[in-house]
Amino acid sequence: MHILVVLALLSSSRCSFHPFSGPLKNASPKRPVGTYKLSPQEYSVNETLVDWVTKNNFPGISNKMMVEHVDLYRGYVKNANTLLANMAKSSIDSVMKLELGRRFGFEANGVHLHELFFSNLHPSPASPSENLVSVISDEFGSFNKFLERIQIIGGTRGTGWVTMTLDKSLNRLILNWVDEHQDGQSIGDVILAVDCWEHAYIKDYKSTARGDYLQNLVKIIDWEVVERRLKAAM
Amino acid sequence: MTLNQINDHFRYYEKAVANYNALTTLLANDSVPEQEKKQIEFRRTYENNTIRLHELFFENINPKRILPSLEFTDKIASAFGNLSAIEQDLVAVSEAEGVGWAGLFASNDSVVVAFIRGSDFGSVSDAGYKPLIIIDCWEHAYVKDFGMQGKKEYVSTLTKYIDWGVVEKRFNDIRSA
Repeated sequence: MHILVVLALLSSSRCSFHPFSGPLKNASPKRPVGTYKLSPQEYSVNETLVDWVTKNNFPGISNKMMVEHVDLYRGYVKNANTLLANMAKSSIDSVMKLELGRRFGFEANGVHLHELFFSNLHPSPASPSENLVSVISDEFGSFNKFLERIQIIGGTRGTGWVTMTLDKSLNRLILNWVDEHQDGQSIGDVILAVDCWEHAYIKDYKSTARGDYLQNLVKIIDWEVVERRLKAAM
Repeated sequence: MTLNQINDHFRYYEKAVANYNALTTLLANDSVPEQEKKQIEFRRTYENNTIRLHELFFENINPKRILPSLEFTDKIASAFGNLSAIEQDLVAVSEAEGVGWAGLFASNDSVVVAFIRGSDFGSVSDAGYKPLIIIDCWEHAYVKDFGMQGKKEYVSTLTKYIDWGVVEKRFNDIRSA
């Protein structure tokens, strides 16, 4: 009787087993795989995005600083492509290739994060939707607490980013610090990216005033873009 | 370099000192849980490294070009060829990705030019190297005057203002220790 009760309980409970925790059933080493192909490309500067950030005025970020920031982003695109090309060269020593690979994460993430950052800015953003406020409040307590949390994490010592990702295994929004561009990334689609490198604010603010930059930054986040990314990731 | 850039840099250094003191006070608080204390220690080490590296940096730059003695030039520069070679190597290592400190370091039997990532002073000191030259390559050190892509120009410029007298004294202190 007890065993039957236990089995019934197990089958009705909402257990969140990892999908790969049990033995693979019906696995066949000869399982046919359809043919598929990738069309590899190089990184390229998103000129539409460049126009967006350089031809609009974003309160708290001077146009002069934004233009320089875009040039830095162009540098990341160029460096990432150079590394891709060099890593493919047979003439490069294997040890050097390993080190180029180490650097590649820095440059490639530099490209992606800057694009995510520029595209989640708006000169005068609309208020977040009720749905987004509700989802964010579920995780962070309230929308205002969430905005405070961005600023607190953004004050982390060092140079890097605040990113928010959707962790699908937990169904949770994860807000955390990323060192440089590549250390400490949480795994999941990036929903929000905030540049906290000194270059992002130091021409407009004192070096000790990252807090002031972030206080202004949270007012120019495009919540429609954030919500679109979240829905696409879900 | 402008006074605006330099004064802002001093304020940054002062903030690191204030941060260190605040963290020391926090660590003395018995009600802070042990696990949190470990994180605070980590952060305090970071601040301490920031303080020490900034002090070494400010000490070893001089608006007047101070050259070392011939004896020092023979000993150290001969390992690299000449002083210019050291200056060029400092510019070269500063091209490393991310932020950090370019420097000339000496152990008991060798001298190297290397780049400290972030504030990780331990990466050279744990290997037995002591600083002779330290150049701040964090963005706050140069972006106001040289722009976001001005690191190379900044470091090149700064190598002309190294106080080699201070460098030589550091080298002699290491040797006599």
